[in-house]
Amino acid sequence: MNTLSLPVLLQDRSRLDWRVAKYDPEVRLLPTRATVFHILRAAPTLERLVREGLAQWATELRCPKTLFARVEPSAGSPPTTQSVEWKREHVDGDLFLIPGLVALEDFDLSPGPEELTSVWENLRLRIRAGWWLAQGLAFRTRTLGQSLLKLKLEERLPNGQMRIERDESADDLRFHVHMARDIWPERRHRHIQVAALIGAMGRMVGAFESPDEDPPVVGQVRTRLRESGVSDWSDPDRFDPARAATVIEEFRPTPTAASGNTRHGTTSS
Amino acid sequence: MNDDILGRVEAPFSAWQQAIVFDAKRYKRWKDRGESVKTEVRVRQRALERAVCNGPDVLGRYLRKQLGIDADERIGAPPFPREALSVNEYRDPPRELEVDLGRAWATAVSPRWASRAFYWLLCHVDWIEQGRLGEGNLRPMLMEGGRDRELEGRVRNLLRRTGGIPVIRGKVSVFSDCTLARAWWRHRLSQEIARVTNGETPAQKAHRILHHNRPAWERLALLSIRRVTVINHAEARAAVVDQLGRRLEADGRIREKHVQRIAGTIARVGLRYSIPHVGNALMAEAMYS
Repeated sequence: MNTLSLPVLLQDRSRLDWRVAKYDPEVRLLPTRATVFHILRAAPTLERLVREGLAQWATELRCPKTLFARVEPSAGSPPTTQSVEWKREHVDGDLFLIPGLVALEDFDLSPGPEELTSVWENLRLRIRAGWWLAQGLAFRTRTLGQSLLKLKLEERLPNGQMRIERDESADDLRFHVHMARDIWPERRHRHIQVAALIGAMGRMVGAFESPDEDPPVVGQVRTRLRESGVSDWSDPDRFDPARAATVIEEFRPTPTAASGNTRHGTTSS
Repeated sequence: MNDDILGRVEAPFSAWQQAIVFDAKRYKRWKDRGESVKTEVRVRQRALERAVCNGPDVLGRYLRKQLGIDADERIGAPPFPREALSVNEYRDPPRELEVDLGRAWATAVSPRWASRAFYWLLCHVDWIEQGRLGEGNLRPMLMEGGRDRELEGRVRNLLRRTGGIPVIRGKVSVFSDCTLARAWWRHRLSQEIARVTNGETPAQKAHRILHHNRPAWERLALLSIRRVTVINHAEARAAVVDQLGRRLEADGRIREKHVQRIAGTIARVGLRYSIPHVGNALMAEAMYS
């Protein structure tokens, strides 16, 4: 069985099966629930499938650390606004939410003229139950910055200094950022964290060389860079750690005294 | 389990694990520094071994100190279902014992905590203090076996068995190295498989397959938490176990490469299909194509 032999509408546009249709889901995350807005544009055939009960909006949840995964169908009204809940005791660490539109039974897909690209012309498109007709990116309950950095105080480090090392014991990509005592109180400052992320990205060359085997966080980093048109570390001549880091967590201008708080970092120790 | 303790023990646990094992890889380029760190670590390792040899009360006090728990604080681990375990039962629980343990802790332990090494260490502290492990002689139970000629090996044995050694082995350690955690997870997953297959794969059969071979179990756990997370759908795991069961019947054994191959097939299906919506016919087609 060739699992890739049918059209799919991907949020990141990395497949060009559909000419103009777009799927841009939005996810609002809270600690134990999320609201998923399935936003579909210029896709009359997919909308018809939902109306006819052949397809259904759904969100896949995955928490690798607790071996948890499930697909939650949308029961909302309208079905494009989906409420998803999970039990706190079932998840730990990263929880990924992947929204999409799933086929509920086997059927022949009959798109309107010009909806699909020409490669699909004159082919019988037999959709099997379970096929993701549209699929969003993985949304996560922690930001990429939070997943990538773990801040640590290092008493012996001279004032003003920071050092970064890859956490080799982590199953995914993570860096330990060791900070001197004098800058430790500033650890939640965004500029400090972005600086740490730049250092971390500088250590990516030579790591995770095969995209097919990327662990989840590495895959997220690679996708984020690709979406922004920025080279990743597999092309060392063009890879720019500063650019990569600031694509993941951009610098923001320091607010003036009048605008208030300057501590608005991305992660915690 | 005492929520207050759970909320504050992770950092001291992690610091203690890092301080009590010597990871030679980290000092490949700084041999001199490595030697001096090794000497410091060795002192701490000897203190741990002394505590183990001095019996449950001393070891309990030692571990409480490392984790920052006061002597009079109640840990509240799930009740231990047996009077005590023998060394062999503890180091390699037979299937029937795993079922007993898993059943006893089925609702008392949640996946959130069961996936954390420090949770199981806390349980061990409580059970050691209650005299449920080791019949007073903890050294053979916790430290001996495997690479136990070196002090480093004995300390690592203890860390692995009492919860796992994530600073060295990553998240898979708790699923694979800690025998009691492993029992809980295998019991839970076999129940889940029975439920999702409506009893077509009975829990007993699923458990027998998951229990059959430790490297195969470790491979399955590693793939589930790291590379092929789609296996974590109960339907996918049931398909993996079904295929492994067929392999066991045909060859009399299950190998890591079998797990890898079947997981790879599921991963290809899961890339574009919602696993719970996929029918048995399509899954079988994928397995045998």
